[in-house]
Amino acid sequence: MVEQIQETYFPKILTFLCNWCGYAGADYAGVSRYQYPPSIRVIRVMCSGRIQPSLILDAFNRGTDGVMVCGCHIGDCHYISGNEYAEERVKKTKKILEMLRIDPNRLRLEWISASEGIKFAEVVNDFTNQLISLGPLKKES
Amino acid sequence: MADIIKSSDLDLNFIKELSKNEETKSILSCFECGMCTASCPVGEQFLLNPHQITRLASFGVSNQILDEKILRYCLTCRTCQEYCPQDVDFIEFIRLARTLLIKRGIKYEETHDGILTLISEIQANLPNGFKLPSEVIPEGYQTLKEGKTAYFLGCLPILDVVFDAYQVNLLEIAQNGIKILNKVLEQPPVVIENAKCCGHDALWKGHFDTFKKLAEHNVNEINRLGIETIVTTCAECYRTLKVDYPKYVENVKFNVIHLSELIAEKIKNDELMFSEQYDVELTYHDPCRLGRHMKVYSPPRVILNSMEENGVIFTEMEKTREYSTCCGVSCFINCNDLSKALQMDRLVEAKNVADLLITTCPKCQIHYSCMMHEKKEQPSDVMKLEISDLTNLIAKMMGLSEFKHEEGENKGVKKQIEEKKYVNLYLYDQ
Amino acid sequence: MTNRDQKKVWREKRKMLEKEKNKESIRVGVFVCHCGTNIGGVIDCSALAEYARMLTNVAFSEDNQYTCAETGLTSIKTAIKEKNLNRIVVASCTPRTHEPLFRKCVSDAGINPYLFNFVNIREQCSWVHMDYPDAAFEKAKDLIRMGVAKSIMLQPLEMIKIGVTQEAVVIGGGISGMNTALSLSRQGFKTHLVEKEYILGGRLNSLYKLFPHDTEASELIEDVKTKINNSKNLKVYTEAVVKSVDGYIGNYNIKILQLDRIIDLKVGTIIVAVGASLLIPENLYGYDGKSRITQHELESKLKAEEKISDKIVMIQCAGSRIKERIYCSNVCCMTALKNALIIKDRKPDSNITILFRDIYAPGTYEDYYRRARESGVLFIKYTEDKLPIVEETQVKVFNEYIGEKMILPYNLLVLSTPLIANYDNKELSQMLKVPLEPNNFFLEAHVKLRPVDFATEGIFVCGSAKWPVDVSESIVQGLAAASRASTIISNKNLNFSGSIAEVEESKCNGCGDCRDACVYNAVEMVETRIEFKAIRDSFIPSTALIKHKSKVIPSMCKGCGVCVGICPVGALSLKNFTNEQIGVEIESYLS
Repeated sequence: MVEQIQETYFPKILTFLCNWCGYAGADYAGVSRYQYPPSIRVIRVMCSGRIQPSLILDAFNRGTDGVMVCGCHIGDCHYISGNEYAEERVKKTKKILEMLRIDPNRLRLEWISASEGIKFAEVVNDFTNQLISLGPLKKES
Repeated sequence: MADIIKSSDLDLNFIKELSKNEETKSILSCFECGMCTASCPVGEQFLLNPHQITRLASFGVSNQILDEKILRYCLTCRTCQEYCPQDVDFIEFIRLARTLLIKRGIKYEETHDGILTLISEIQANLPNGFKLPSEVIPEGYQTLKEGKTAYFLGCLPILDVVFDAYQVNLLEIAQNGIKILNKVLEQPPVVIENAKCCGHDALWKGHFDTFKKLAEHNVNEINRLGIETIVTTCAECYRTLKVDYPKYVENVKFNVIHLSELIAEKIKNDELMFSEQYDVELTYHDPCRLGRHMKVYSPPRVILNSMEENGVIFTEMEKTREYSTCCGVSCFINCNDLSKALQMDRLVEAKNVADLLITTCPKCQIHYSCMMHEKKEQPSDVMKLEISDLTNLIAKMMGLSEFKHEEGENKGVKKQIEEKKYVNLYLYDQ
Repeated sequence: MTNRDQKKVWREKRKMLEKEKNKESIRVGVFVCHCGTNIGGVIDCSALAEYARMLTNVAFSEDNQYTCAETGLTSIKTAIKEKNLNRIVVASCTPRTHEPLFRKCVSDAGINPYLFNFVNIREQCSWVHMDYPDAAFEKAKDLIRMGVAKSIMLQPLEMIKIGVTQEAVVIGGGISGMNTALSLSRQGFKTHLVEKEYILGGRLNSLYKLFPHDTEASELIEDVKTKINNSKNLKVYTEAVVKSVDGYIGNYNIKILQLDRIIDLKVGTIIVAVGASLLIPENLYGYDGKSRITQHELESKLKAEEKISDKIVMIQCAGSRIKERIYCSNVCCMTALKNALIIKDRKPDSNITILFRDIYAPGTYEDYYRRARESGVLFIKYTEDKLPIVEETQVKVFNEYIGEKMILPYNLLVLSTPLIANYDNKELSQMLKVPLEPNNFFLEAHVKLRPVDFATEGIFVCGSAKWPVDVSESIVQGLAAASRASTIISNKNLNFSGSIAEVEESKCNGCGDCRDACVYNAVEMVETRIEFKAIRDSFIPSTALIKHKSKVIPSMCKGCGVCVGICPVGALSLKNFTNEQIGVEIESYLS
C-alpha cells in the first residue's frame, strides 16, 4: 500500500514534540503498537514554548509539506505556561502562512498528553490524509 | 583590525567588482577626511569605522570587510553621505558588500529570528503573491482589478501580523490609503491582487537573488495590468520601486509617487481641503528612505502646514530633514543598545515639541512603538507621545476615519521636559 | 593558466583543506541497536549502520544486538578509545528511559555526556510501522541523518552544582506553620519560625472547640507549643515580619524585622504559612458587633461562657460566593454547625435557625450535619437573588423549598463571614516573586501535580495562605510542605542540568520580555554600563550609557526555552537545543 502511495505522493511532516507530553505520547503509541503512517520526522524539544515561528517557516521554506507541533494540554504544561506561548505563536504563524498562500491547515497544533498514544496515532493518520488531499506544497497556488 | 596586512590579503577582484558599479566606484574617490565616521550615528559600534572600511575597500582588503560582525552595524541611513564632501556612496558599498557576503554563504543572525527574511524567501519561491486579508478593503469603498493608477500595499498586512504585540495597527494605513485614493482619484485605485513584497529588505540584507525574483514578479504583474502610476504609502516601497526596480529589472515603465506627493500636489492646486477640526500639536519624523534617500522633504510638510486652519500645530524637531536621526534599526538586521538609545533620544526630542509624532514609514512606526512598549521605567511624559502614519492623519482630516489618538492630559500645553533631569536619570545615575 | 589564476586556485585549495581539517576534528560514532527483534525484526539494522558510515563526519558505526546491555556499552567505550570518537549517536529506544544510561557510559569513557545524541527508532519507528518495513527503513535513515547532523553541532556542557544552606524559614506561626517547623526541626534541620503576633498559634488562639470531635483548641496549641519549646533546632521569632528576600533555591538571604532590630537569615528553603484574615463585615446585614455579630465573635462569647440569647438566626455565605468574592470559604458551614451544637448542648430549648445557600459537609462531617439537624436546628435555604432581609428584630427570608416568605424573630444574628487573604500577601508575594490568585491568596504551581510547591523552586506554601482550610487540612499541608522542603535541604549540593538558557550580552537590547515570560524568575535584568569609545554630544545619544541586560540565573533555569522563543533579537539560546542545532535537524531532513 505504501509503495502505491509513494509512487503518487506521500507527504513529509516535520513534527516538534515537547519532551514531557508530545514525545511521551508518541512513545506510548509505540509501546501500545498503535500503527500510523511513516510520514512524520520528529524533532524533540523540551517545551512547545521553545518553537519559534521562524523554525516553522524555515521548514516550509525548505519544502516540508506539513508541520505539526505537539505540547501538553493547556493547564498541564510541565513548565506551567509554555504551551500558551506555543498556541499564540502557531496562531500567528497560521495567519502568516495564509497570507503567503500556504494553506494554514498544513500547520497543526495538537495537545497530546503522555498517555494519549492512541490520539497521537490518530492525529498523525488524520494529518497525513489531510496533506495527501492537499497535495504537495510546491504545486499549491 | 589585523596588525599586519599581507599582500595575499589584497583582493584585486574586489576592486574590480567595486568599479563595475558607478555608485560603489565613488568609494575610490574618498580623500580620508573622516566626516563619515564623525557623522555616523552608530560609528562607535562599528568594529571598523566607516572611514576605515572605505580605506580598506579601496586597497582591496576584502577579507577584513566582508565580515558579518562588521557589516551588520550599518543602518544604511545615508547620513554619512550628507556630510561627505566627495559624495562617496557608502551605503551602496555596504549593500554590495553584504551581497558578496551572502554569496560566500555567510548568514546574518537577524532580529525576530530572521522571520522576515524567511517570509520574503518563501514568497520569492512560491508562484503567487500575498493573499490580502478581506478587511484591507474597507466597507463602502471600491478597488479595481485593472486600471491606470494602483496602490501598492507592500508588506503592510504581514508586518501587521508579525508585530501585533506592539499594537501598531498597520492594516489601518492600508485601509486609509484606499479610502483617500478613492476620494482623491477620479477612479478607485487598483489594488494589485497578486503583488509580493517589494524586496527592499532582501536587497539591503544582501539577498540579491530573492530581491530579483520578487522585483521581477512585481514588475511583470504591474505591466500585465497596464498600470501607469503606482502610489505608495511606505517610504521603503517608494525608494525600491522608484530607484532599484529600474536599475535591476528590465521593462519598468511605470511611474511611482508617494501618497504625500500626490496630496501635496492637490493642496497646491487647491483641489483638496481638509474638512475636520483637530486640535493637536504634532511633529514630523523624516524616514531615511523618503528623506535622505529620495529627498522628499517638502510634500509632507506642505500637507501638515495646510492643516493649520483645522487646529493642527506643526512644529519641527531640532534634528530634521537631512539631519534627522534614524529610527535605529534597518531591515531588522540589528537591534542593540544603541538602536534603543537612538529611539529614546528621538522620542524625547519629539515629546519636547509635540504630542503626536507623524512619520511615513511603517518600520519607523514599529521601532518607535517597540521602544514605547518596553516595560521599563521610562520618563512618563515620553510615554504619552502618540505615533502615527501620515496616511492615517490625512484620512482623519478628510473625515474618512476615526483617529485613534487619545488626547493626553496636557492637551495643548507644551510641556518642556527638562533635558537635564532626563540626562541625570540615564547618564550619571550609576 | 596565468600566475594570478594559479594563486587563486592555490588559495581556494588551502581554504578547502582547512575546512576539511576542521570538520575532521569531529568524529561521530553511530551505534544502531537491534533490540532483539524489536527493531531488527522490522528494520535492517546492519544496512542502517552501513548507511550511517557514509554520512559526513561519521568515523565509526556498528550495529549491536542490545546496545544497552553490558556488551553494547563496552563496545561503545572501546570504539571511543580506539577510533578516537568525540560524538556518540545511539539509534535505539527512547531518551526518556535510556538517555541517562548512555550519557553515563560516554562520560565513563571520557567524553562530555552532552556530546551524546539519541535517535529513537523503536517507539517512534519500528513499533509503529511494523507493516511497512521499507518505509520504516527510510524513516530510520532520515532520523539517523538528523541525529548525526545535530550531534556535530553539540557543545560540551557542565552540570551546574550549587551549595545548599541546610536551614529553613517558615513564615507564619499558625497551626500549619508550627507543624511544618516542628517536622523540619525533628528531621534535624535548623528551622526559623517567623510570627507576626506576639504569641504562636495564629487564628487558633481565638477558637474555642474544634469540629468534629469538639476538642479544645487550646489543648492542641499547648501541645504543639510545648513540643516547639523542647526542640533544639527550632528558633522562634515573634513580633517579626519579613522585610526582604533575595537569592535562589538553596541560598536565600532573608532580612526580618523583629520589633526594631533587623535579623539576617541564610536559608535553603522558604515555607509560606501566613494563613488568612477574618472579614469584618461592615455594612453587611446591619452588622454592629452587639446583636448582629460574626460567627467568630460568637465563638469568643462561647469560650468566655457568656450568656447567649435563645433566639438565634445564622446567615451562611455572608460576604462570600458573591461577585466580589466568588470563592467558598470552606470552613464556615462546619463552624456554624459546631457553634449551633454547642449552644444546643448548653440550652436544648434555644431556637436556632441557619439560613444557608448550600451546606458543605464533606466526608465524615456529614454526620456532624445530621447531628445538628437531629438536635433541632432549623435550616432554611435561600438563593443568591433573594437574599434575607434583616430588620430591627426579625429576618425576612424566602424559603426556597416551601416557596413562601418567612419571618424569623431574633435577638442574636450571626453572620458566617469568609476568611480573606491577608492584606500584606501582595507585598510578600512580590518579595518572594511568587504569584497570587485573583482573591490574593497564594497560588501553587499546580493544583494536583505540585500542590504545595510554588513554580519558583525552593519555596513552598501550606495552610490557609493558599485557600481557607480547616485545622486538620492545615496540619496535613504543613507536614506535606515540610517533607517537600526537606527534599531540598537534605542535600549538601544540588545538581542541575547543564541544558539551560544563556544570554549573549552584546546582543541583548534590554527589552525585558524574557524576564516577564519566565515563570521560574530565572531571568533578571542587570544594570550594565556600556562603554563607548568616545561621547560626542550631537550624535551619540546620552541615554544609552546605562542599560539593563538580561541575565539567566543558572540554578533557577529549568531549560524550557520559552525565553528563547520570545527574544526579539536572538540574544538568548537554550544550550543543547539552540536555533542552529534545531536548524540543522530541519535542514538535514529536508535536503
